[in-house]
Amino acid sequence: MKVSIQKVETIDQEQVILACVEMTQDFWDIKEYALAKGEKFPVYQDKKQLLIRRSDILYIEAVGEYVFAYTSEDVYEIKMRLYEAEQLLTGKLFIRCSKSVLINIENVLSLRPALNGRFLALMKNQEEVMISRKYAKEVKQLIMEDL
Amino acid sequence: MKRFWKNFFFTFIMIQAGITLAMGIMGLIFLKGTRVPYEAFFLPFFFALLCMIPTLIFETKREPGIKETIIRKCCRFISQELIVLTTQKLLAPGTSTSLLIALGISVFVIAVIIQFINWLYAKSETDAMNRKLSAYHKKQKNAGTR
Repeated sequence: MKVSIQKVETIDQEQVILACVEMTQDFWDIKEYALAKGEKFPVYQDKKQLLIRRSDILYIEAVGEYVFAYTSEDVYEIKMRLYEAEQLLTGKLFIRCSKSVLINIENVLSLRPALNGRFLALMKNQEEVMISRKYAKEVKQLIMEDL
Repeated sequence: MKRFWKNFFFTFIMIQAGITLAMGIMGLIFLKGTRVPYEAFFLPFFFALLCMIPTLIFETKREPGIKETIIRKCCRFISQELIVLTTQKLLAPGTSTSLLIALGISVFVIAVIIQFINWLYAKSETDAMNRKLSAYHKKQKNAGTR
């Protein structure tokens, strides 16, 4: 199969075009993968709206009135409440892991036990995020059943 | 709450098993050849119940931080030591100091074993999740490089 790559200027122009005679299982897999990978999420940096790939977000944290999205390289502000972000991202491998944090399971490298039924999740940027015992069961269920 | 009671009974059974084992080992070392009355069979149950009192006191619905958890665990352990040693002294005023020290050490060893078993259980859970995560990452990597 031939693969062509074309460079574009902005993230908005990014797209995957599938040229096929028939939509076989392989093409469906590529389509699903591209759709999941390419989904954009609106964030703000220096009062400018940007679109980042949902899959690039490591975790989303509420700090007082503000909500921030953390990627490996940057921190962005999100103009919505944590529960709104949770509603928007539920079913997309994001899950609440404590009162103020939503974690992206696909960016968790590993987990280790912490005190009192809690877990510590090692993220792709080597940062550790606490999974509280209240949400540990749901996180485990997502990893064991939905991943 | 369900999780608390599950943990409570799990810890209770482990403490009971630990006390039975400690009684057996200490008896063999210090009181070899001594006959024990039937009441002695109730001791593990009785002492395990006493040891669980601090768990009820120091348990909180709110999730404490790491520092607070460590402090709570230390307070719980000290209370358990005090309760067990005081009860032993009240039930048998003639208990020698060496036996009290042995009892204190047994409580410490049982507490450490219970923490270790809890950690092993949590570790087995995270290991299973890590295997799933690693398989997921491998699959993603293969999909990305194919």
